[in-house]
Formats: sequence, C-alpha cells, structure tokens
Amino acid sequence: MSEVTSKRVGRKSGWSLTPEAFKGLLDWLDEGAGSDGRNYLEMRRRLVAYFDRKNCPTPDELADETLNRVARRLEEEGALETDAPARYCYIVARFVFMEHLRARQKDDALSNDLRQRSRAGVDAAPEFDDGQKLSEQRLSCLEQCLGKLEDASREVIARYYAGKARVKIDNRRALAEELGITLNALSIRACRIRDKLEACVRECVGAQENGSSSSSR
Amino acid sequence: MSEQLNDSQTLTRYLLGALPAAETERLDELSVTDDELAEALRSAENDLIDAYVQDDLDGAALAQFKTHYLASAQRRERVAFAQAFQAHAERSLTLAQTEIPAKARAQTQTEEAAAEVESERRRSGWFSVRRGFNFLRPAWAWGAGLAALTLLVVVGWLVFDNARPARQDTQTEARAERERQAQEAQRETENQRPTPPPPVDDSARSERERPAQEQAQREQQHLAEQQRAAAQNSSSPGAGSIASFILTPQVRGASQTQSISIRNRVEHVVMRLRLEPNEFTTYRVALLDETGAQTLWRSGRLKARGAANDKILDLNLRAQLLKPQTAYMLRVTNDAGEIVDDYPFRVLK
Repeated sequence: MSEVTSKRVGRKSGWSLTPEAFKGLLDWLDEGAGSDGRNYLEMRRRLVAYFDRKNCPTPDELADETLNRVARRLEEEGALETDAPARYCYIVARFVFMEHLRARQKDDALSNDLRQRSRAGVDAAPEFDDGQKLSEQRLSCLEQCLGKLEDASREVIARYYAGKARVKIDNRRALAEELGITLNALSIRACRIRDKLEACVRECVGAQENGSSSSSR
Repeated sequence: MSEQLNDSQTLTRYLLGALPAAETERLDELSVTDDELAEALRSAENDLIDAYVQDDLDGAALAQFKTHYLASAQRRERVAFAQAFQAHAERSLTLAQTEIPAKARAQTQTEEAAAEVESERRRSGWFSVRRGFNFLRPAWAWGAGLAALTLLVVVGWLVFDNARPARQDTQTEARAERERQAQEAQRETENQRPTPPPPVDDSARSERERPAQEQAQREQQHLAEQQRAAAQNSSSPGAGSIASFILTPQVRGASQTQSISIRNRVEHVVMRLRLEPNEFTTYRVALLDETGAQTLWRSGRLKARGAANDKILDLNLRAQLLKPQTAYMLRVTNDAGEIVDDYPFRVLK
C-alpha cells in the first residue's frame, strides 16, 4: 500500500490528520473487506473526477479536503452508521463543492480571474496543442510504461482500444469471447489498465520535466 | 443504477455538460456512490476522448467537447495521453505496412502465415507489427466468413499498356508483355470463378444467397468479356492499366477476408461493391486501414447502379493507395454518415 500515505489526505485548518485517523478512514471505507487501501484510492479518484467535472480548478485538493473531513468526523464520533461510506463521502463532497462555489463568489477579483481563465480556456481549446517536445516525451514515456505492463494486460488494452466505430465494437466482442468474460467485465479491465498506464505516463512525464528543469538551473 | 442513466449516450452528454441540471446532479451522485455507473462513466469517458482524438466527433458534440471538456487541465492531460496512445498505434501500423511486404517476398504465403504465428509468439513488444495484425485478426476473420460462400471476389484483369514505346523493339516487348498479361488474366479469372460454397447448416441462408452467387457469376462473365476487349484494345495509345474486382459486404459469422491481387503495372483499381438491400440513393466510400482508425481515401458522393435490392457501387482507386500484403476496409456510408456496409479485403501482391 505504498501509494497511500497520510500525507496525501490533505489538510483541514485547525485539525491535522493523524496516522490513526487515516487508518480509521481506510478501515471505514473498506467496510471490513481489507482492500489494502484500494477502496480509498478508488474513492479519491471518483471525488477528484467529480470536482473536475464541476470545473473546480483544484480537484485534487478538494477531494483531499473531503476525505479529510470524513476522517475527522470518524475520529470524533468513532463510527458513522447513517450512510454507506460512498454516499457519505458524496454528501461531504457536495458541501465542500458548495463552500468552494461560495468562496469563489465572495471573491470578485478571483471570480473575474476565473471567468477570464475560463474564457481563455474556451478560446484556446480548439487550438489545443500539446507542443511537439512534450508529445514526444509523452510517447516515449508511454512506450516505457507499456513495457512495464504484463503481456496479458498489453494484449487487452491494445485490442480493446483498436479501431473505430464498428471495427472497435467487433474487436471488443471478439476479445471478450476469447477471454470468456462479459463485455462489461472487459470494459472494467481495460479501463483499469488504461488508468494505470495513464498514471504511469503522468508520473514519467512529471519526472522528466522535473529532471530537465533542475538540470537547467 | 437505472438503464436510462447507464445509457452511454446519456453518459456522454453528462461528460459534455449537456444534460439538464437535475439529471446532472443525479449522475454526480451516482458517479461517486454507484460502482457500476462509475465504471461505465470511466469507459464512456475513454471512448469520448478517443473519438475526439480520432476526429470522430462532429457538430454539437465536438463543440461541447472543445468548450466544456477541454476547459479542465486534468481532462486536457487525459486527451494528451490518448493522443500519445493513438500516435503509438499509428506508428506501429506504419511499421507493419512497411515490414510485412519485405518478409512476404521471402516466403510463400503459407510459409509466411506459419512464420508469422511463430514469430508472434516470440515477440514481446506491444503494438509490434505482427502483434498489431494478429490481434486484429479475429475481427477480420469474424468479418468475412459466409463470404466463403459468397466469396466472389472476381478478379478481372483489364490490362492496358499505358505507354506506347517509341522504339520498335520496345513496342515488340510491350506487345509480348500485353499478350502474356492477357493470358495470365484469363487464367486468373478462370481460377477465381466462384468455388462451390462450403456446406452450411442453414439451408435458408444458402437459398437467400444463391441469387447473389448467380449475379456474381454474371458479373464475372461481364468482367471477363471486358478483359478480353481490353486485351484486344491494349495497343490503343494512352490506355492505363486497370484491375477490377467485385467485393461483397462483410457478413457476420464470416471467417475469411476477401483477397485481391494487383500487378505492378496496374495504375487504377476499379472496385465494384455489391450493396446489401437498402433505401439509400447516394453514398460515400472511405478506404480505411485495417484497424479502421485511419482514413486513406474518401470518395465524393456516389450513386449506385442496378435494381433496388441489387445495387452496385463502382469506385476507381489509384493502385498506389494499396500496398501489398496489407489489409484494408472500404466503408460505405449514407449521406447522414451512417455505416451502410463494410468491405474488408487484403491485397496479396
């Protein structure tokens, strides 16, 4: 469970996350299943995606803030039995989002800035261009990360995402048949591999950028 | 999770910020609390990003993608990843198209197939050339099969000699070559007459397809006549080398891809696509690579000829578009861009 550390769980003013509180959060999310932190990571991923879809500029921070508040409540009350963990997390996330919106509205200057940025984003979007160097870097990282995947996973992701339209659908159907699983199960498997690959590429690109910026200093 | 919410179109609209507020809020909640929907959403998002990267989005969806989806830095990062993924796949396919013909020269077709399977096992690189083709094979195999029955790729060689040589000795050579080609084409046409269909367990199906076979035989005879005429006229100046083929649409449960052979001297390839009965009057055709990911050529608007339930669409392609030992697909769409029929085929030489 090396990816899960108490440091990642963010901050809450006046209260800091202790290792005990963090463990309490992990156990509560596991509901006795002993997922070794996977449930926490999955919940965090969903919360980040939720805040991102709401166009919050810092979705990671807001997701951490949400989980931080849940952990705090757990520590204070010992247990939360009113809702299923996921539902409770969503309710807290909604509060965090509303607070975030209110904070944005209060700060006119920030609001204007965000509007401008949003407009700039809209205008810039069609011209979305990653830059040749970064694209090459990403491609090289992708190759490295693919090399780290197991053969079976490489095969699944290659075949799952190959082709377009009907060819793609046919590929998926054939692959599911070969693997003896449903299309739904195949889709879940492919998405997880892709997530893993994406995370690996992000990390690799980040590391290369950090390396080049520190060497240029 | 309700079926309606799980519908991929609804999920796509949700991701594009195009759903009414109440529905958006409901999906917001389910995206966190419902495992099944969270997975479906993830999958829909990947497909949406891929569609954008592959230029498959248009109209409102494209506009919403640019204005809404790309407004977030994290989502732009995901798109960038998908672009890298696509670039990697294309690079591998390009490799495949250049590598395979070279190997093919050294082996007979059967030997090559065996070697391909063997070397596939040994190679570990993802999207490697052979792997790239092999992993797509089931789809292709799946696509052609009943076509063994209607596998009526009638190969007609209409060979004209393009350049009339200036010198007499060259003229003599050219004439000899034309005669040889005409004879070969004749033999080839004879060889490729529809073979007896394999036994099928569905007698109704074979009944349905008999008219198609008969029609294909008539087409084949027509082509053979054209070919003879072409051979006779081959001394006429300015005539280009043309190869003509009839392709039948991909049929579910099929197990063979239609194969065509193109000689080096051929400059134009006439494809006659037999359409399944449909109500459309005009069509467009695109030549796609094996994966269907890359469009290599597009036609303008085309009209089919023939009766309503037996339409033929004629295409004229430049032969240089088709590389040896490579698989392609011709995709026929209607005016609305909906797929009407697919015609996978492989160029042997």
